[in-house]
Amino acid sequence: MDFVRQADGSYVGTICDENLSAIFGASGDFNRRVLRVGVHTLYIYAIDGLTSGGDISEFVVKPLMQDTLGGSMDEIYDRALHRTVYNSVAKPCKDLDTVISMLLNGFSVVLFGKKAIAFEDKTGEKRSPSAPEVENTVKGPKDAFTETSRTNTSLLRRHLRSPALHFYETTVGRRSRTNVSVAYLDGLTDPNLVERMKLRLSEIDIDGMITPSSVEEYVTGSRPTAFPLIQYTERTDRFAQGLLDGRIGLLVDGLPLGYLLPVDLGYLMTSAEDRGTNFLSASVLRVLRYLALLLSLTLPALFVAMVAFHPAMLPTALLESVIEAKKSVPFPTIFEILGLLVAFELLQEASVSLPKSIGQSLSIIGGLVVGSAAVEAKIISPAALIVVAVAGICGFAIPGRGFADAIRLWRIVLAVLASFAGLYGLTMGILCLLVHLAGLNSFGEPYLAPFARVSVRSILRTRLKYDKFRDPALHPQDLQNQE
Amino acid sequence: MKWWLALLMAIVLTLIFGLPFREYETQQLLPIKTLQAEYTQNGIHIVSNVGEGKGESWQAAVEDLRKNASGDVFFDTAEQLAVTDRRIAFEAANSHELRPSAQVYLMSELAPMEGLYEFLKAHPSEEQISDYHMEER
Repeated sequence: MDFVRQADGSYVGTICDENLSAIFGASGDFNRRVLRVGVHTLYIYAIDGLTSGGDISEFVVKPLMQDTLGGSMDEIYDRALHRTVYNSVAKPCKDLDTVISMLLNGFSVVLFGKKAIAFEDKTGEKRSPSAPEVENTVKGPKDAFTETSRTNTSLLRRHLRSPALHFYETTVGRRSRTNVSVAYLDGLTDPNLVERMKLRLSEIDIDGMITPSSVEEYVTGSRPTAFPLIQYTERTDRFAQGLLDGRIGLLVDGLPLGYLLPVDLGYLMTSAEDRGTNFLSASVLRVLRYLALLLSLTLPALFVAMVAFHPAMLPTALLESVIEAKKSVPFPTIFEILGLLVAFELLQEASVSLPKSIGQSLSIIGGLVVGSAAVEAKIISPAALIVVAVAGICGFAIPGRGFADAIRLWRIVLAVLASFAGLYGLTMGILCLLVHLAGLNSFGEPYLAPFARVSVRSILRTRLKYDKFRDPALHPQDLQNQE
Repeated sequence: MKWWLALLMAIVLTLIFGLPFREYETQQLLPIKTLQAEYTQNGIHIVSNVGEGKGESWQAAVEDLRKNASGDVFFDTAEQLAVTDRRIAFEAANSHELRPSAQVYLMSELAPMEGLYEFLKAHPSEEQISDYHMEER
């Protein structure tokens, strides 16, 4: 044995049976077989589950055993690579680390003395593409990303049958050795973006890149913010459209998601349905979504500020209704709203963790039964319940979950600030939020770019006929997308 | 300076040095919609939809009204001030208790409170408290 495992997780050493047996030998799914071809001994390795035993027998072992021409080991190696073995993919391995990488990626490796060839014998056991679960649309394709990176690249190829679609592939993670693909359209995407992404990936030093957070935080530079600086989608058509817009994509093996960069608030407020419906309907819905964003963010804080600090700003009739509703409620408005916001978050959290069938029951019991019982028992006022419920529902109208989660967090922060200092506190909070958002950028794209440019196309869905140019902020090499 | 540190400092300073407004217990609020006031032998008598008050001056009558009320009398919602003498409207404007847009009506005597708000609402006045502020200047 003469191999060394380096700090970055790669192996250095000679390609030999001793090394490979020492590295994988203790693992129950590691298969090693010794073959006698003439006077020579060949070793064949594979990882059970990642490879198909039948394919290895039929397309690797059988042709090798039928090679009766004899000769030196180099001659057998050469024939295996170019003639006898009729496996479609045969890759010579230049070092020990490549052998290990091939074994871990569904290849069987045959050792010819100090040389090795990897033959692709991946198992067909993987999840088939299914309909999107989160980004449902009435119209449009129903193929969502799966956990297998290669399946995902093939799905993309079906949407973009262009040789310009390139995948830069690399591995990230000292121990997980996760395959990561950077997708971009050559001749369209800004090369600086691609290079920046490659550099960012090469700088990631992490044990395992197996959770969405590890991708999102490391790729975006782990900024102290609740707002997403990378957009994810489970829809292949949306991902393909992102590439056509001049953005870069990221596919991570093991995650049924595709990531798109750069991102700004405009992208996060678009829905997968926007390109599936009439431009007028889509535009109206987008405006409604922005309204929902505002309400979701500020309504509870505004209610606290107006009722507790500035009741004179409410119309008298409304103030009378609020006072009447609160007559028998023992808690101040501030505690009522904050308590309801926390209860709403708890209810949401509980229903996410539970199975779908129980989650629905929980929503009914929590939202309807407990809510109306609390109002009837005069523990909370109907007005407060309505305000928190409206804010919650508006939050669900925001398309990106990551963005909606950030809004949930800031909704509570603003309500707390309003409970300290009324509209003054709320204004301070909103100013801080705007300053915070203005300071964010995603791969050089300012987060508030759609508002900085006062670009209608970022907010409304323009008619495709007139949507002739890509977003110049992305610096695409080809700015025009149609004549 | 970090943005959150600036925010924290602003909040702390505001809370230390006080806000230009106070917090209300909403359930205790008694919003006034209509106020009537007249001069009496002992000063001013004010009548509202939440109670009555008497005093040597407008301010004293307001204090009396607050003292007698079962909750926190809220003058900011008052939309109508009906007075038997314009001098009372000047006093009311000087006290800055009422919103500038509250309408001022001149009446010969105090009317029953029941239905008065709706009646006055149906007959808008051309005078507002702010007009008395201007005359005051």
